[in-house]
Formats: sequence, structure tokens, C-alpha cells
Amino acid sequence: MEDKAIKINTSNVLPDDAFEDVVKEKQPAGTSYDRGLWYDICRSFKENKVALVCLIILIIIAIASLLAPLSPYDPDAIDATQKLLPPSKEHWFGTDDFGRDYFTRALYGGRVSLTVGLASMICTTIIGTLIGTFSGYKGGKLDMVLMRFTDIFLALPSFLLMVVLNTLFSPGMVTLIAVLSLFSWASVARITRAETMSLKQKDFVLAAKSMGASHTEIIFKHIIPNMSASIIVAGSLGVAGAILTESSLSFLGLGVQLPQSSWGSMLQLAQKYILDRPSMAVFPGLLILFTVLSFNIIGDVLRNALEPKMIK
Amino acid sequence: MPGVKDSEVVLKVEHLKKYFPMGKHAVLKAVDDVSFEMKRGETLGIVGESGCGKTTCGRTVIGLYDKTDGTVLYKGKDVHAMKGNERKAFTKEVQMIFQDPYASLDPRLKVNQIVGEGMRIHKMYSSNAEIQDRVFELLDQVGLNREHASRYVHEFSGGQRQRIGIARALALDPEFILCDEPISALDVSIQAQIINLLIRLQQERGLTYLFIAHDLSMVKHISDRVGVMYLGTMVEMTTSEELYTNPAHPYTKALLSAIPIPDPKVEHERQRIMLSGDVPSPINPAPGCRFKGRCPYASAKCSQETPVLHEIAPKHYVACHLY
Repeated sequence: MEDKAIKINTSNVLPDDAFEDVVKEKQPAGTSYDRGLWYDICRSFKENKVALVCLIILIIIAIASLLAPLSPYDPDAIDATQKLLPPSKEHWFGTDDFGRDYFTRALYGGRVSLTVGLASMICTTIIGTLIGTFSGYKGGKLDMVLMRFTDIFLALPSFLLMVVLNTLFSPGMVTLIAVLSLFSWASVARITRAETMSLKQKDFVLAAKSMGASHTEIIFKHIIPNMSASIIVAGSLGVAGAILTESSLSFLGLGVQLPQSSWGSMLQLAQKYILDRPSMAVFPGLLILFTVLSFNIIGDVLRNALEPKMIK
Repeated sequence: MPGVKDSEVVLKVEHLKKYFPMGKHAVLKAVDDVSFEMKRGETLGIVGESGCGKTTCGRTVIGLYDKTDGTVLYKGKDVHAMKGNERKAFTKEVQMIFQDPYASLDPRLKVNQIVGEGMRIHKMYSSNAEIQDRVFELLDQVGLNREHASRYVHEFSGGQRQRIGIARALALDPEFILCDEPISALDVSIQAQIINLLIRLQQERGLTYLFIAHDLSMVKHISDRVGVMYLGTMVEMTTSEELYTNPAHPYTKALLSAIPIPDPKVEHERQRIMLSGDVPSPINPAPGCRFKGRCPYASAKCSQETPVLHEIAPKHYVACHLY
């Protein structure tokens, strides 16, 4: 075969060592590109101080809730002599109208709120992502049927139905989680379906297909990782939303049942004494505020951490 | 390869059609009745202006798109009827290099995952260490460093990305590569490097290339034969020497006259054949020759009868009523 190679004028080409300084500067000694997801996440938390504060707040709330049994008080023990005390050394948040230690009840309430929030977020994202991705990837009639089904769930007055369902089934954490997940997967499915529709047209998906990748491989290796940013944002907003809805339901008396506490039911109790003991509403209110805010901010930071273009 | 003659036909495309439905009554005829053959180790260039169906033709040929009609035989087997293991073996032997080096590499994956993906899909190696070694070897071959393996694609320039794309295609030891405008997104100096790389690989491994491009001089350089497409149809096909010295179809003549010549004196005297009008829409095209509206030699026959490819000189096929 004749030599077809194009001759490149080599005298104009700079030798490799001409770039040495640039290369050195760009890649300081010790920088490794063999780094994982954790490295990137830790790095973005280090750079973003607000996010770090949020993370610390969440960790403190979570650990305190986990260590709630260490409190010297029983959250359900009624003591009529100690009722409605203001915050003091013995009772950090004061006591409620049954004389129960308010701080201990807030810790146990945190267990309920965080568990319900996280568990329903996990169910929501898994169900929503699977339905949305499958629907968007397959397309056609199946997509239409699944999406109309999703539309129905989006169009229902969900809060009203949650109230109905919660009264039908025996109230409790599991019912709460199931009901919350049932009514929030639809928005995740919408987001993931839209992303899947655009991702499946991308050349890199076509490339995987031309190399013989199966549909499962394409969905789990290319499509879902590429929309992880949206899923994480939807998830973190989902936690926040679930905690708020749980509080609202408990506030209406439809959440966890007495004597078990949650932040929402504590707010409900506090409204009777809002003028005499505003602190009873302030403490659970602040806990909800900080938790929801922290989840939202952390969701934002995680999105940036998982976006390769944002990684420095 | 032992036992296989050099003249063996690897790919045979017959009357391939690919239509896209556009609403109720409109049909976009992206590829309309295209036929050609390719021999082992040969490079067939396909040229034509944007939107003439080159990419769709290439992708339909390797089975990425479903065909509307016609047959594509790869080593005697119908590409679109392959299933299971046969299909899997086909996806290993036939690879593709994409036009856009930005869109064709998954931004979530590191280079070693991208290059190693095919090897994992086809379970070519039993251990990750072997895959890793092979990835390093491939990166060496396309002129990248080992350190590049653990980086994300956004850390690379366009030329480097295209090399990654080529390494990915080579990873499966293919026999046939569809090069879909592999150089058009790159600047000229990088184009030469990539072309040289492709030519070297062809000489080393006896690869067969279906090379789609709109850069006529590059196509002439790399191709053994060239096919010219216009609006979904093949209007002329011949050896690249013959096409450039002796173009027959009026559209080919116009295309060739548009190539700038790197000599200011000759360039000044270059006569360009200016085509009037735009490329007509490929949606519901009128019967007859597709080029008739812009052709300076169009006659009544051209709007009644669709010209078919016929041999006017040895190995020189033209679809035009003038010959």
C-alpha cells in the first residue's frame, strides 16, 4: 500500500519539554486524578462553609435523636407537679402540659421526623426513577399509559387523600411513609422521564448501543448516572417536603399516635399555649426549619459535587 | 487473515431505504434506494452536503437505525435480522467513530471506563487488570498517556477526545469501522494527525472503513472509492482518482469546483460552478431526478424518470440521464 500519511512540518512543532512548565503548574505534585466520588463531595463541603454548617447541624440533630434514650427523662412519663415549666437547667426546653420533659420529647420526635423523611424520600426516588426512566426509555404507547397514570397522581389533591388514607389505615410510621411515598413519586418520575428522553438521544448512548450494550446496561451505566444530579436534588427536596408533610399531618393529629411525639404533633400541642409559653412552639419549629433548610442546601452542594464539569 | 481473499466483499448494501414519518402525510426520505459494496481492507468515502443522508445511511448500514426497505449484508448475513449471539458478534466486529467528540463520550465516566466499556460488554478479558493493560496499550496507540486513563473527558481537548473515541472503537479489535465525519469537528493540524492515525491503523490491521465526510480533499486522500450523495440518493460512485479527474454528474462537478486550491494564482483563476437555489426538502420529494431543480442540464426526461446508477466507464457509476 502506498504511504498516504500526510507530512506534518515538524520544525514548527514545539518539543514536548516546552510545555513542561505549563504541565507542572497545572498539575501540582501529589495531585492524583485517581480520586473517587467521596473526594469530590468532601472537597465541595470544604469549599462551601454554609453547606458544612448545614451538614454539622444535621449530624448533631441525627446523633442527638439516636442518643435520645440516654436522656434521664422518660418521654412519656406524666408528672402533674412539673407541668408547663419554662426552660431551665433541669429541663432544657421546659416541660409540656403533662409535665413531660420537652427536650426529650423533641429528640424522640426527631427520630420520627427524620425516619419518615428519609425513608419516604428513598422510596419516592427509587419508584419515581424506575418508572420515569423506563417510561422515557421505552417510549411509545407504554410511555403514554405510564405518564397518564403519573398525571393522575400529580392531579389528585394529595393532602386530602393522605388524610383519608391515614384515617383508613392504622396510623403509625409505616403508614405515614407509605402514604407519603405514594403521593410524591410522580414528580420524580416526570423529571427522570424528561431527562431520559433527552439522554437516550445522545451520541454516547448510541455509541454504547453500537458496542452491543444491553438496555439494562445503558439505563444503569449511562442514563441514570447522567441524571444523578437531578435525582439528588429531587431527593433532597423530597426529604424536606416529606418532613414538612409529616409535620402537617401530625399537626392535624393524623400522624404518629400519642403518646409518641413528632415535631408536628408537638407544634399541635403548643398552639394551645402559644401566648403563655411561646417557647413550646419555637423549639420544634426551629428544629423543622433547620432540618429542612439543611437538606435543601446540601442537595444543592451535592448536585455541584456530582457534576464533572464543576469539579476542579 | 488466513483463508480469506483480499477481494472478499464484507458489506453489501442493496436498495437501502430509510424513511422517517413526519406527521400523517409527510415522509422524510433520508436514504432512498442506495446500493454499494465494500471489499475487505477498502475505504469507501461518502460525500455530500449537510442533510443529504450520509449519517443516516451509515447508521442504518451498521444496524443502529431500523431500515425501511432493502437489505444490508455483512459477510453474507442480514444486519437487520441478526439476533442474540450473532448480533453481539456483529457489534464487536463493527465499530463506529462519531463526528462530535464532545457528545459521543459519556461525561460521567473516566477514560479507562469509556475505552474499557466494550471489552466488559463482550467479556473479552477475565480480569480488570487485563482490561487496564489493554486500555494503556490502546491509549499508547492513539498517542495519549497512561495518566489520561483516570481522567474525565471534560479535561481533554477536542483532538484528544477524538483519539479517545478512536481508542474505544479499536478496543474491540474491529474489522469494520464506520467513521462518521471523524475529523470535521477538529482543526486542520489535528485533522492531519487523526487521518494519519486512521491510515496507519488500516495498514497495520487491514481495517475496512466507511468514511463519511464533507471535506472533499480529505476524502480523496483517504478513500479508495468515493460515493457522492445528494438528497438521500447516490448520484455517482467511482475510484477517488477518477472522481477527481473525471467527474461525470453535474452535482459532483459543482461540488469539486468548490474545493479551494492552496495556490493563490490557480485559486484566482478557479472557475466555480454556482448552483442556483437551495437543497430541496427531503420531505415528500417529487418524482424524477432529485437534482433536476438545480441542474443546468435538466431536461424533460429528468422530471419523469428517476435515473439509476449505471456504469459509464470501468468502475465509474453515475445516476444521470446525460450519460
